[in-house]
Amino acid sequence: MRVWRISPFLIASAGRRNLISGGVILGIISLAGLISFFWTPADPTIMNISNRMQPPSMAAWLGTDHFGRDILSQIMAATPVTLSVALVGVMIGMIGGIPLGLMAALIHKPFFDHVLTRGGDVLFAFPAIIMAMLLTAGFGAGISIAMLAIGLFNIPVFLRITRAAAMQQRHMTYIHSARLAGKSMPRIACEHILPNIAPVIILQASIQFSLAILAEAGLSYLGLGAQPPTPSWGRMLADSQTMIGLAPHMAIIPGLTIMLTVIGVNLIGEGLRQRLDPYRSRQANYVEMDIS
Amino acid sequence: MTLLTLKNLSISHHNTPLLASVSLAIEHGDKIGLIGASGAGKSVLSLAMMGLLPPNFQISGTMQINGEAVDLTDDAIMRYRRGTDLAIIFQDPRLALNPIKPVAAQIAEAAELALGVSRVVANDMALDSLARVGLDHGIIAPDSLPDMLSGGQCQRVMIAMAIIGKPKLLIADEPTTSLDTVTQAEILALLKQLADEDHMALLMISHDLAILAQTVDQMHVLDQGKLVDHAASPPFAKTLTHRQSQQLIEASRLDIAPPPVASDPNHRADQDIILAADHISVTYASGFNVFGIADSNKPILRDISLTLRRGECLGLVGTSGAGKSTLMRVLLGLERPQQGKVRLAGDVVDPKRMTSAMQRRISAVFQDPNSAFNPRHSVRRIIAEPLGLLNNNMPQNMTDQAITEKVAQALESVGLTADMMHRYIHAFSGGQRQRIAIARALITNPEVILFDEATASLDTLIRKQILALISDLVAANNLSAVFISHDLAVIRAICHRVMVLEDGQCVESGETEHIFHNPQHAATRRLLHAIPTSMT
Repeated sequence: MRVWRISPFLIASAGRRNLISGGVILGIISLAGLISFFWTPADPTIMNISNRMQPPSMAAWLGTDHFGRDILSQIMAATPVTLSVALVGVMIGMIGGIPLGLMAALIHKPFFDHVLTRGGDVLFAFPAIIMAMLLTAGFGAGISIAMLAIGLFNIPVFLRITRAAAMQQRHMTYIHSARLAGKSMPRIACEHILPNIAPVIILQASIQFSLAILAEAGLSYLGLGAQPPTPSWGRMLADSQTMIGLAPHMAIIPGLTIMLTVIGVNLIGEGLRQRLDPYRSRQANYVEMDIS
Repeated sequence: MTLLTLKNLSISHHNTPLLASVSLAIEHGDKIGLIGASGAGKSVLSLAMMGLLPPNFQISGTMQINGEAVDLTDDAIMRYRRGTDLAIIFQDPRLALNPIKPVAAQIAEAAELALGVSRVVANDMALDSLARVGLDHGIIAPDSLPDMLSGGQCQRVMIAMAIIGKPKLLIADEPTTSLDTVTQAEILALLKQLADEDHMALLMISHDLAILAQTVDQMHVLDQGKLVDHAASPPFAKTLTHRQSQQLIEASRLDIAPPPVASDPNHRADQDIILAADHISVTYASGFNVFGIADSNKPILRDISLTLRRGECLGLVGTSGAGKSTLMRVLLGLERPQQGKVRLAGDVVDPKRMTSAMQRRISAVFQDPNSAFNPRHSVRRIIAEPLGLLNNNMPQNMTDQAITEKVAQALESVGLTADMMHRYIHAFSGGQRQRIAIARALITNPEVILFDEATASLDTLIRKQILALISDLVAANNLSAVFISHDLAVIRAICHRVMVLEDGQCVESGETEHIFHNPQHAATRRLLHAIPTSMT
């Protein structure tokens, strides 16, 4: 095996480029969300029926919806709702799924492993929508129920990916060495296994974050998420669907916002993954090429 | 007519020269050896001859096959040459075979592509080809998947695939490096036999002169991208005079003596025993029921007993699958045997009840220097990891500076420099990584070190250096060592006593020299016979 020097600048900057562009996109969206707490161009809940379904103009920059509400104001006011549902949903999944996945992989008991993974499969069998319906039946609809439903759905996702990645690491010789050095399994999991499987988890987290935004949209569409008049990107999309021929901007604008956010999150996830790759960062920018 | 001529072949990658004007002529039926240390450019040459280098390599020079010039960079042209004119087998047959396709189908596919025959004909040819490499119906089913075969059988499948188009030249790039010595001897004999039968030229690439010497008739020496030496006929040891050739010849002679045992007549024999295994048996679950509970077991180790005296080097030798690595994990307390006990200086080794005082006394160097280190930790953190075992027995924890000093000391004792401790592991070569592994094993001043195939993945030059280092360190620190290998030559260079394992059982044990001169068991004789010897 030989190590070739391959234009270090390109590799280093590819990760940084992704981080910067993802950061800029998400930064603008979060800033808009922050500003909405103090100021929006118009009140997002005030209806003005005579001005309904106006295309974008100087008066209403992104147009108005079928009740004559200002779409830009609604998008801004909905940002904190949508982002927090997605963030909390992914966090619940990670906090629940990663330790369980590590336990399934590292506690070397087939029975325990089966109980955890099959349990995860059972949870997996209920999509977030069904989960939200179940929870709504018990606790009523609302944002926190949407968060919980998305989070519960994410637990088996992270359990599986963590377990699979940790299983690969478990047989690496350096795990044996760490055990010989007297380290306990939980400590090995934190010091050796987690950092080495972090890229996979981060990538999955960015994918799940994108999916959570779409799931929130889906839940709001069914009336299981944010309740009117609290605006949400998903419900804006849902409301506009019957009027897509009359006023396409009503669907296009929230759709574009969701798409931009998802792109931003994925760029950050990809940038972080490249950052964490030990072969690509640190003092030496080598790419190992195996030609032996 | 000359089968293949290379004229002034130069290859570079991003302005780093890899090969510099290599010229080579191969006649029909020639058996040519190409030897060089790792990084000499051997694999680049073989890939270039097959037209398999990625497009970002700059290639100049010409190659002629039967007097006809071929463009090495034109994949469309090279495709017609591969399989019928040229064929190649690689180092690791498990990586070279498709894991989800039956082996006979993979060989048949090669026949279809190389010869343009129909599927039916190709299937028949595949069966014939499998029989030629010694894998007929009786040995493996043609629809076996690569997973079900041993490493040696996989390499035979690769050979069957390579020879099916009756190539004029077979390039074998380190074909036996990933195999144990007994299998290696079989594969080398097979390659030689097939080359003779088909009047096929053979280009054998290796870092080990001993392996080449018993297979080829001519030898080229490659050093830093240049052909520096050539011997037209054996004995090679006398004809090859270049400095690099001499080094390689020197390295293939493992004339290291085992470290002297300090003999103290006042010691009682039973006090001397540092590590003892008593009737160890291990079985692995080979099938699980729906609840994940094992319902069938496969024996791995059967009733193994061993003792290791202070200052002694014990060799454990056997072919792949003999149970060597499992025994090592049991001795280290990483795995609990179903039966039997391991005692370290009188204390029972048990995975659940290892105290740090016990763990401090035993350490290990593992086989694969690529997976032996956490790639995200610096060398300092890697080497210092076992120091936690010392901390528990100290009044106060070690300071950062004390750790740095100890790591620096350990690095210097294995021939590296202290400033290397801040680098990450991917910046080191295979031999350096193995030195780092030894430094980590030494840092707690253990009494016993276990070496699991510690030199198997290194080339001959490095192998000799590492063996000499181990021998010196064992003597200097009054260590006891267990050395696991499939290569009796390596064991002989370093061990006082040897134990031969086969199928999880100890079939023979005794003083190394005694075993070498008077082997009793068939397995021992097979291992001895497999050592590549004829240097002359």
